[in-house]
Amino acid sequence: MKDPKEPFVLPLKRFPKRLDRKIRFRLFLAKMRKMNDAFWSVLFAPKLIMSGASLAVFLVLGVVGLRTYSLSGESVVPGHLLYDWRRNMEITQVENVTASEERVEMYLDLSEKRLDEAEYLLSGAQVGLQLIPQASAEELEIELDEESEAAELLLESHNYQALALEELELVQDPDQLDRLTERIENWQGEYETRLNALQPRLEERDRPVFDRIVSDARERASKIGDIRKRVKSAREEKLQELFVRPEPRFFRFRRPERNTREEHFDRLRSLTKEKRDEMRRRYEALPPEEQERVREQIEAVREGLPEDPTPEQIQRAREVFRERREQRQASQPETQPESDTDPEPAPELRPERPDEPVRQRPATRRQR
Amino acid sequence: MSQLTTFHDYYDAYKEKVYSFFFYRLERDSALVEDLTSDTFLKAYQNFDRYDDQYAFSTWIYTIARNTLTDYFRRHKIHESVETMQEEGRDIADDSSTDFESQLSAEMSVDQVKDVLDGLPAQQRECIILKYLEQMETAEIANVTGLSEANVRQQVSRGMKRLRKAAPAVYLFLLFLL
Repeated sequence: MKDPKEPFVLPLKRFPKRLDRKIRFRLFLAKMRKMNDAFWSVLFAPKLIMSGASLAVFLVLGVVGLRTYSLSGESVVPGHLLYDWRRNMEITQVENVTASEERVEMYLDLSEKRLDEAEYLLSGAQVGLQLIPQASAEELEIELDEESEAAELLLESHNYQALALEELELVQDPDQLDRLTERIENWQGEYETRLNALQPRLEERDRPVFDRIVSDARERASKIGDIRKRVKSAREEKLQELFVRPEPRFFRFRRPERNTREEHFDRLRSLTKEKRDEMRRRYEALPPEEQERVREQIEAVREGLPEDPTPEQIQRAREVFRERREQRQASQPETQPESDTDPEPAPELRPERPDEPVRQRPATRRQR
Repeated sequence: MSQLTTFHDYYDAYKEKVYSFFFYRLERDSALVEDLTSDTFLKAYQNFDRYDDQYAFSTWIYTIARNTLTDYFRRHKIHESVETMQEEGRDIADDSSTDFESQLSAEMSVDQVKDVLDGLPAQQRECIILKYLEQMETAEIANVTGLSEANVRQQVSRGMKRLRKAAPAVYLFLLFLL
């Protein structure tokens, strides 16, 4: 019951929670916008938009240009400000390549790059120090030992060739293998020529490195010869595959025609008969004593002897066989005419019933 | 009532009242009521630094709500706007209002109150809503609606008169409570 003194108030409509969340979210966004108002107004000011865009374009172009220069610039050699960046990018590139073919090519490129760098250093050209602050440039000039750096670069170039060869072992495609082997051979020849040209400039202490590279180059030549052989055999295999075409898939996987039931039993019967005739022929070719022994063995088997019986078991089976033969002869003296010349007919393993029809299964309900 | 300092305190205190204002003021369109409520509070937040706390917040927020509603009517070219609403209004003597007495014998629900108020012209309805929803004085209602105080009093009086005609029980109930 309402208190009459209480002022009348229209009942309030229940405020939906969903609307509450919506309004709070809009208020939050408005708050964020208000807070960042100064920042956004500066960034999106009409006068600054164009300058910001041009600044961004300039930055992108600058980064791309710097990257290209650091990757392919001739003067970017050890001691240059961008040289470390170049090496890091090269490592990243190598790590990102997964195919063996591409990896071989990349190793060869890197090998060539290292040789270029070594040549640049040994040519006595000024290292690009203009990018380095003067204070550190002097220090670098003191510490920079160009000759040993050059030897290291030569060694690294040599190692990249070895890596390329190792990676080449993993290439399976004969065409690619052929192409890459040829490229390695070409590079090998060029490398040796350029190396020989560099030889007079090397210091005496770098001789061991040079000798090692030269001796390894000979081993590598033999390795390339092995790869050549492999390419040849792979090509031959490919040619064989081309000429000896396998049966087309459709015919290869076609199911053989299934024999009918009658054909199956005919085949089984003929096989059994052939086997039995063969056994009979072999039995008749034996001398009488052997025939007797075979008959005894067969009887013994009929008596349930095991496959590998003991002598006592065989003796017992023979006695049983003799007793049965005597009984048979005693019971059928008239029907079985005695003949000394004719050998006793061979005992049948199974009664021969060539004319017996194939036993049919009873008709199924559906057939009825 | 505790001291309200931040906008969110005011929002928590007035969100139901502003929502109810639009609910009673508009036809049954909950999506529109929600949108206008949301817009009202957003405008209030954006202009909160202009709010002078010497005056009642209710006057300020209802003014914004009313302006939001007016803008909506103008934008959608709805002629039943506050400005075009004439005091003669619509005839509310319909048969459905005869059973208000029985409705008021129990607790009146929100929808029932809305049914009663829907029978009034917009301006009268608005004055009565402001008067009985927020317990505003006539001067405050005049500030919100932009009418003179005499006009407000007249609107409230005519609205009550119409209610008396349509539903005497409602009128008596309101008088009794006041």
